[in-house]
Amino acid sequence: MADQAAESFGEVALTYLDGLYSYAMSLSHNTAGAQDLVQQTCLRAMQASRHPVPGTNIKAWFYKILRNVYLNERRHENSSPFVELDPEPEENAIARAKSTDDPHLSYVAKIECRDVRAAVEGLAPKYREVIMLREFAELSYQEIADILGVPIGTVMSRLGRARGELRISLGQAGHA
Amino acid sequence: MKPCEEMRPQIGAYLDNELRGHELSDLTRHLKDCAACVGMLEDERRFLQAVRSARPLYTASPELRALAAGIIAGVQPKQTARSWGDRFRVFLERVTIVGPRNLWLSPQAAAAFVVILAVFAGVWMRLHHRPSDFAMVALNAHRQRIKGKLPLNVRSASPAIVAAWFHDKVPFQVKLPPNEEMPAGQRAPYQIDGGTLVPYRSGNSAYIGYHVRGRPVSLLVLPTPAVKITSPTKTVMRRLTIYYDTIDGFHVVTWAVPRGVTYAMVSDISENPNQACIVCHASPKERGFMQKLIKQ
Repeated sequence: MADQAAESFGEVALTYLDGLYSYAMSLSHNTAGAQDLVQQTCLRAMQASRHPVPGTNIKAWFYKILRNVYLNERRHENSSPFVELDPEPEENAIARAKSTDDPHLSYVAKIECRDVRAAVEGLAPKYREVIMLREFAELSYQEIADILGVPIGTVMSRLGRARGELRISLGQAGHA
Repeated sequence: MKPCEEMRPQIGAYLDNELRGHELSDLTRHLKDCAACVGMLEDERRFLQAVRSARPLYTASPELRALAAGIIAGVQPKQTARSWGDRFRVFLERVTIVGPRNLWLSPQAAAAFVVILAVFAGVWMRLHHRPSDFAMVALNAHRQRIKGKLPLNVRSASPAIVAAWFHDKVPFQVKLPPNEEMPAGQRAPYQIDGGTLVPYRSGNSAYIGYHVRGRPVSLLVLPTPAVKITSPTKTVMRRLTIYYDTIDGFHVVTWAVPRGVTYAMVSDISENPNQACIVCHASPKERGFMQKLIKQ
């Protein structure tokens, strides 16, 4: 039974590997670091999968493990050369985003992947993380709240601001 | 009807299917009568679709995918706590299991055996002899690493990840003991750096790099049938044969499992193998384990 569960968990890991890797990249900003995060996540998830918890959303669980691995590594290293936890206050981030608003770029019919990537990378960490978990991992607000350890209202608030920043960075007119 | 300013912040949650109860009914009712908010909703929908069309934002490389598959295929069940007697028995089993793809590579266990060897055998023999080819290859690999001329093809602090990398690269299974759990704030006495392949005759050996207090430690692995060890210092413990040598100031400990794999560990950490073992396996848990082994 446990072996079947482990196989099932393993299949999930491989199915969502691109998503996990994308999330890892958004956290570490570093290919080698992201690869190591994903591998550590697979390892810990597979070890823990011997004792599955009924009703667990496996995908969300993988993302939570990845985030915990990342935070543990940061804690051990005490400082990270790649990511600042929260480099600027929320208000400053919004102001910066608004200052880049360009009416000539108010509409872009098709957004290139590299543009989205650059825009996401440009977000403050807490906004980037919520965008990754919602738009790219397709997790529910509650699942995101559980992963981040914040109230669901905070998730909604951050997501709203993150989308606003993203829209401005991508040159699309928003609805204020 | 509620004002638009109150409804618009809910549009994102509405599109995410996250609105419930009166929030959902209020917005639905509002949208029926407000063309401006409907336009805004459609605009937001297009925007989010455009963003989501960039999935996946990054793509895992085939190598990462293979490594993940290797980890998933190679993970062992978690072990429950055992008595010291059970641990010793399992420890012996790990180093004596036969079968080319079912062996535990256990430098921790081997180091413990070396301690036993030192206690029971007394003074190590220091005879003039010619080191084995395997020992020399291990030594040369260690020297190359010290010079920075042996890049590691897989770099990770996780033994399982390093072991998984060898999965489809050598015709024997490399299994490494997991990292010891250390008390908060303490670092493990030794860390694994990664692994690579080192040519040996017509094939490849598995090279695993460690470091202890900044000093490199090298481990080379080959199937036992491919290795001939000629060191005169030899001790046989059950099915395990351990060799110890000092070559040009480097300590080379070699041990072989019949019909299994042979290991060579090279370091310059201490003057004798006992100290080398303690340096690596200095966690309280391992120290206790080793002391018990010595007493047996």
